[in-house]
Amino acid sequence: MTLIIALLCKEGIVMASDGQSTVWSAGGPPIRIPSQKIFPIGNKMLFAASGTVGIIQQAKRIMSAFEQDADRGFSYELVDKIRQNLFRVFQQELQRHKTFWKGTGYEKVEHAPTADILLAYCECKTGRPCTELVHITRDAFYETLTEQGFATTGIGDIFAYTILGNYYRKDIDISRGIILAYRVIKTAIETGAWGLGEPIDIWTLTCDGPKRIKGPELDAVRDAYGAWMEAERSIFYETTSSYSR
Amino acid sequence: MLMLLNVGRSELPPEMEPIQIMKSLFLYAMKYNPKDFYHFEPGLYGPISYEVYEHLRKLISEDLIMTKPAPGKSWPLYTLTSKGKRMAEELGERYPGVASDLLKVKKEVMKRSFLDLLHFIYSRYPNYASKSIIRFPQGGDR
Repeated sequence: MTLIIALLCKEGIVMASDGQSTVWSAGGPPIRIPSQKIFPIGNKMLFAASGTVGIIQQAKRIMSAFEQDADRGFSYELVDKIRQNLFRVFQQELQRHKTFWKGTGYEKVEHAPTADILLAYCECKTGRPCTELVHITRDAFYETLTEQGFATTGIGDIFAYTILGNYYRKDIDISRGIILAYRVIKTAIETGAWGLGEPIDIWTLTCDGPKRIKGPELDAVRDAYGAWMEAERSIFYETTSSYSR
Repeated sequence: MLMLLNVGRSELPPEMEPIQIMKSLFLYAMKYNPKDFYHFEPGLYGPISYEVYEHLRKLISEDLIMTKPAPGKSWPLYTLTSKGKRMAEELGERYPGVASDLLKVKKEVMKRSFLDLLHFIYSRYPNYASKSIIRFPQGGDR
């Protein structure tokens, strides 16, 4: 299972995910494995996907072929090309699934392996970041979420909408965006029971290109999030009063 | 780091939160200006040193310190292993002055609640609060 979010910020984009995938063992129950879900595509794009691991791997290979195109600049023609290539994979897998499971009751579309994809793009023009967020759905339809400012995919997205609804705004700076993204994923992992798990993976995409937050920097994000939670708890208990009916 | 975690163990809790470690080492750096110490910069919760985080990771990998879950908190607690305690005690005997100074700052930190600790540091070292996500009204008392 997966949760991925992307936030547009003043200086670029923050993308974050949980770090576990569910795969089917041969003949046994599903097992959880550590899994990277966010990948840089060249210097200006991040790609992330929820769904079936094998389809995500195929989608990543397709995306890698567009690395140079993505570095040349964002365009809807490029998104359309990517979408068409993904559509072929999704459709082939759907046909394979339906053919294989025909007559068993398991051939329904909703059981077919597929992927839901987020693309984040950041290009620097006259010193300012120009950002785009694109969502490619499991039937290879696409929508831009740049106006909304954030995007999510995966099973814990209810947490994302709840927390982002309270805290996200379009002029958020990237350091706060990182902590907000951490909070969304952490809350979903701690509260949800759908196979989400650590480690939390966070990337930024700015005029300096893609960067993964790791090691001591990720420890600092964890503690900044902890500081925020401590402050929030203190405010709740110190600045509100109780009353008896 | 090992000495900080070891000093005052008879009167203070044996575990420290990462922010308590970070702020203790910062106060020690500001008060005593030791040579070849951690470098601090303004961070999201006040003064921060990425070297401290690197060092904590290294000491865990060397089995000198370990982490414990902190109920209701998002960060772990750090404490010495028996191997780390032995090494810290040797260091304390070799550098009693450092141990005494570390104990002073550790007591200053450990007696404060989280927000009081931040306020205490931000009011004395405002340059290190410039990037903080937590702000206090200027001159505001807590």
